[in-house]
Amino acid sequence: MNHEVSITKVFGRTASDGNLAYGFRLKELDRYYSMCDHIILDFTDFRMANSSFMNALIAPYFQQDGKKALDKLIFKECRGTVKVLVEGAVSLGLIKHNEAKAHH
Amino acid sequence: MSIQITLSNRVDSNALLKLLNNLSEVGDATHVKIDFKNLLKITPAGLVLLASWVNNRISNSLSTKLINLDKCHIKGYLQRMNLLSVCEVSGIEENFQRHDPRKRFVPLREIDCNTDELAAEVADLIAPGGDEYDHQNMGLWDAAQYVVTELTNNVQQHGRGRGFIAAQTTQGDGMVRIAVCDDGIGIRQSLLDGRLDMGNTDSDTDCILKALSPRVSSKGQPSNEGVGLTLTSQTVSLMGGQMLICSGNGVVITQLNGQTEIPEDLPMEGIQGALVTLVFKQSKANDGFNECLHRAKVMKDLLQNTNKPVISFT
Repeated sequence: MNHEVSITKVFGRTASDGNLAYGFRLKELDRYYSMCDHIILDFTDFRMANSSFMNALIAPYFQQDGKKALDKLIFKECRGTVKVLVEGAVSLGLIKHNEAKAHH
Repeated sequence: MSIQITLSNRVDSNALLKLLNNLSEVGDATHVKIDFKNLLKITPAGLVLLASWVNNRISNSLSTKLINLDKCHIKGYLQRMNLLSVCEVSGIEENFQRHDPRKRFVPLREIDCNTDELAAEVADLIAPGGDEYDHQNMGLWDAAQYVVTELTNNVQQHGRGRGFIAAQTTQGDGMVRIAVCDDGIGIRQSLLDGRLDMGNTDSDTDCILKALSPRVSSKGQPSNEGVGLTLTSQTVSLMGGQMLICSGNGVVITQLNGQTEIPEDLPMEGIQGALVTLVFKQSKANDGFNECLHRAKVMKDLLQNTNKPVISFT
């Protein structure tokens, strides 16, 4: 089972509030993350975010599951700076995942 | 006690520290006059600093008068930039027609609304048309949107005071200047409220340096990773610019090469809240803001440059 989310429909064309991203992930994404094969984050018509927003939305899945989260999360129609922000959030999550592993 | 501050003829990047020193020395003087007769040039940083400082004094019922505005050669510019209206100066007519500010300046305005909408408005003025992908101003629009959201969210989420923003683009040197100032709790108190371990260092300057470090946030996880100010300063450096942060009596300047310069502390308590002002090259932003952001993340160890995971972009 797949679950698809239009980021533009939820947040508008631009988004920067990490608190909103955090709240949405907790209320809407987490339950699908555990029950679905794939979560498709659709960035069609989404124009711009910042690091605070994207990190709060995505990084914790990679912090929790490492590269396995890549099997589950699919990023659709990312362009330009949004693509860099997604890569950054994924990387930050993986860095923290590896730090936690090394700590244990 | 009554104090008079006479503004020098240029309140630009070189003279900003002097203005910060002058305002700091006022302390809690009950009567202050700011003399504008010599002023010939003022950058957005000077405008937001004066707007925030004067409004803070007004809200504390401290007498603050802007004098000799009629003798000021750039009175019209100050009016266009909304300084007089924001500082509640009345009785001075506008003897000019307001022109389209696009590609020239963003007048002073309070940070009192949704920061995404505010940032989009500022980005539209700085980089008209850049909202569309593949437009020649796309990189500049992205840069403006990015830094404005990071800075104004800090004002709303950390500063908890009243904040102002202004910006300016200049065709002569091809730079864009963006400044934000608030009269909130300041960076030091924000970090202390977040119960961050400051070790033995708790000066305002140390706190600014801490806030510039990656993965430091007073809000703490999981809603905030604490990279906004870090990436803003590094990206600005990569776009051929620099950033100044002042909070309390601490001042830190991040230079073009990414190095930090620490001027002498401001006298007394310094300024309330925080001032952040940055300047960068329009051309560098348009040539590739996203590449600068990518490089900034790598330089701050927030992005692994090698063995990149294969992300499923569709």
